[in-house]
Amino acid sequence: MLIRLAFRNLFRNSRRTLMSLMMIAGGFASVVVFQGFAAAILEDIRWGAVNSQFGHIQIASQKLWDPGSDDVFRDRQLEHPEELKEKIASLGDIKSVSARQFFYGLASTGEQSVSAQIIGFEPHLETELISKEMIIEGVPFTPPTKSGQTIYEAAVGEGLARLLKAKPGQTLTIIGQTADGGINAIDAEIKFLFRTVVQEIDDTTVYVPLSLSQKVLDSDGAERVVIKLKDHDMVAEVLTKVKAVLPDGTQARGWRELSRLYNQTERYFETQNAVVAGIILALILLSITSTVGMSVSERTGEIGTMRALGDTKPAVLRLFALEGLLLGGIGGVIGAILGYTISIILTAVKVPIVLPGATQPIPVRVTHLPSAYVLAFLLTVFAAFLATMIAARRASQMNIVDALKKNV
Amino acid sequence: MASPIAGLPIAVVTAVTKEYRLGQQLVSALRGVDLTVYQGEFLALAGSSGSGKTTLLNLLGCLDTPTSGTIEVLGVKTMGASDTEAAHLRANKLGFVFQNFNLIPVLSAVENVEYPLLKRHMTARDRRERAMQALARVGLAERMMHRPDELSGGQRQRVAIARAIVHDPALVIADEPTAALDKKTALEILDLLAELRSQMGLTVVMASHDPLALSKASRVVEVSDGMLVKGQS
Repeated sequence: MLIRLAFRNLFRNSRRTLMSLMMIAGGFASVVVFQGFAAAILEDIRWGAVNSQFGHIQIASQKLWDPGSDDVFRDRQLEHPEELKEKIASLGDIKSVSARQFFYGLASTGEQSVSAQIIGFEPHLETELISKEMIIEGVPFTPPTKSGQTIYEAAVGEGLARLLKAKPGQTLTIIGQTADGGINAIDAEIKFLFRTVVQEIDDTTVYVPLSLSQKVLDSDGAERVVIKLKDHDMVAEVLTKVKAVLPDGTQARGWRELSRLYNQTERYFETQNAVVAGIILALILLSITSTVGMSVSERTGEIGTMRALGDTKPAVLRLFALEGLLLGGIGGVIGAILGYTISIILTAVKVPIVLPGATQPIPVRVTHLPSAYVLAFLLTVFAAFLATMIAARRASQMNIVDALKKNV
Repeated sequence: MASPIAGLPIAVVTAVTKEYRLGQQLVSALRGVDLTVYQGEFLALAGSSGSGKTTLLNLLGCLDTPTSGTIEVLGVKTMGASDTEAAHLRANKLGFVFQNFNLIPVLSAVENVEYPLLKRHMTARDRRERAMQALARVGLAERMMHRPDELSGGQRQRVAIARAIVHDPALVIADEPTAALDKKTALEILDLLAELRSQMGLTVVMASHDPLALSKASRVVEVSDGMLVKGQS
């Protein structure tokens, strides 16, 4: 009967209760939508980091990531990448293992010369690094017909192509410093121009087949080996296995360790979500404290009656606490429905937003995070409960005789 | 617990004073009151408004504590009782009838009557049965699902009386139970109280200045200016 009484008490002043419920539901929905939005952005960044930049795991010379002042080019290289690739491929749960080379050089169309970062990779193994959707003009690289065959082809980022006035079919001369310090220049056919989501890449990068980059540098080595996994959640497990078979002087790192953007964005969202949760908690507290405060004032005489009939102070407090929990609970359920609906609508409408450093807008997406729903529910119920208790404490401490004289 | 023997003291008030602070002033509501309430009697505290009769009633009902003196209700000295002990006494041994009925507006008549039983270890079914019996005693069985705002003043007071007797209290405290009622209804309520008293062996202490109410009492004690002036024993 207490629950029935608490429930009916809640709806004595239905307009006031409705306002409180809206406040709670709005707060709940805000937490869910904010967290879902942040999670979706992080998912996109993670996708980009794994597929367009780092793979799931990378292996490189220890000196690449922790360089010393006397290091030379060869110190930063993996000398036998093929052997390492074979060893890693046998570990299981691996989707692909490929090698990459990287160097700064000069890209020239004859008419224009621009410094660029040259990335040599294995297009037939890393199909998502430059996917077909990223090609804005031209055709993909020619697949190698035999192992070790050099393909004299290049792909130029959209922004860099503009500077070079480069078009598919033209010859691009790539000039770089060899492993021994000499200068080497190799011609390649521009097969396509590409556009990724990261403007910095599009403005500075030339992708070439690994064999071509090795030719320019006059080296059989690679700067790093990139591992893609079948299952994203296996990173930690596979990383441990990889570390166990690494040759001396090499190191393996997971994508999270490598992606500064992901880590910075995650920290940013963590702070933002904490601030949002704090503001919402404060708003709910203020709103419900005032609502329950009014309710306590209106029910003073009734509280006196309850005490006269033998209710103890804690019993009065319990009734109000129950009302607070019900208010928070009902508000939470409405908030969950509201948050879910807003998330679906926002995702369906596909409002475009441009992230810092991105070349094109991406549609707003809101991920349904069960943890956000749990957090929002705990937050709103706690806030409602706390606010009610603050106001109800006054009610429970009332002098019975004084209370009985009021508004009966 | 065994029923007290008829005529034995059920509440004893000894040299009780009660003072209130009203701004800078100290107001004496009771000045050295001695009173014994006997089991089974219908005691009326008479007196004009502000005489101290409600204050005395509140002390007997363990709703307040005296400034000095002692009050023993059903063997419990209320002066030293904790808030929980006093609440326990009110819940189990006392019943209250108020001038303005003091029903919980969101509960139906039967739910209001059930309310004092919530503190007992009873099943919901037993509680409901007891409440329905109490409502039948006061002649309101047919209105049990009605909320207070759907009942007349007399019916509300009947519900309040049913609530006061549902847990078989040893002492019923009634503060001006007829003040908010018309004469005919007041008479019905007084007759009901008298009838319940004789049927159930209740002890009733009532504060009133209504001559009609006083005429129904088995003993009248007059309170004036914080002191008992007539009918004290």
